[in-house]
Amino acid sequence: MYLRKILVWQLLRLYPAMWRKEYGEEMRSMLLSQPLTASVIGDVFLNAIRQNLRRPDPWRIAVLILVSWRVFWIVWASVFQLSPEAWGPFLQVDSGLFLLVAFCTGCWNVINEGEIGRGTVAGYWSALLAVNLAPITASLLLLALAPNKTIPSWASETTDHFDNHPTSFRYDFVHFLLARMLAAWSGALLGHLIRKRRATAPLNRA
Amino acid sequence: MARKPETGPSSDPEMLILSSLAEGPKHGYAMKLDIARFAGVELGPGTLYSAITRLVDNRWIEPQGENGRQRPYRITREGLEHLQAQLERMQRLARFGLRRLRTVCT
Repeated sequence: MYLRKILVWQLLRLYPAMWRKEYGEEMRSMLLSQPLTASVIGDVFLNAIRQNLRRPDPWRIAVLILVSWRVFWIVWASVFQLSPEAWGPFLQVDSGLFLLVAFCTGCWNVINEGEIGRGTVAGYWSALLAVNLAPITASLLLLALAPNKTIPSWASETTDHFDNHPTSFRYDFVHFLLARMLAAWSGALLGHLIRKRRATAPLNRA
Repeated sequence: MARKPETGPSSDPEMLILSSLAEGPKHGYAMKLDIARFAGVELGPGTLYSAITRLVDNRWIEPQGENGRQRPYRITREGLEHLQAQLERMQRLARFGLRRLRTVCT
């Protein structure tokens, strides 16, 4: 029963937050009241994709933009065998986009769910998800489109650890951790303020 | 167990839900059971709630009461008009198709 509850919870997490807020509780009770067969799971999964296409959460759009941006640059660098110096513009935009993803996720999560701690963690994880999804997607794309090309080592290292900067790995790691955490936390705080403002708005009008 | 709905207008989830709610307000699970009984189509939970979302967005049905485990939905006046128009269209199509079939068979 415990595993079943976890599976249902995970399935519902696939749906956009706004949708879950409106229909999540009803669907959860329906899923718990019937056998979870493969066809039921498939049905829920496919409709989650459909709902995400219909009403995507802003943070999912931000993750998608970030992943697309990274995939584009990695594939571009691999196909045209760019030098590490050409990576400069990428890094500038890339760092900003990562912080934006962490910030948006943190903010959106708190607006919808109300907990600053959870919002911060969600913001951090969404940025991390985007980091790891991009090289995998780029590798798959290269494999399909240009199998004779490989991702240059400097490009994959750059995407992983910002190694083209003359800094130590420890510094990169702390930078990576703190910058995203701070962005996610700031977003979560903004989300908290927006939520608080929304909650008091009807009282002020009254 | 969820069964893949047959194709065709008579198994369209939105039409099935509207037809079910034409009888009176029902919550999701009651709709699912009712649809299985009168149409022989078992809608999966994802399909059912996706269709409910679209119907609510189109203002053809509306939830009653607060969010919760078993929130009933009721059909709106616009929903009834839409259902009637669709059913009449289906009826015309069925009548026409059956008449043609009869001429082919005889």
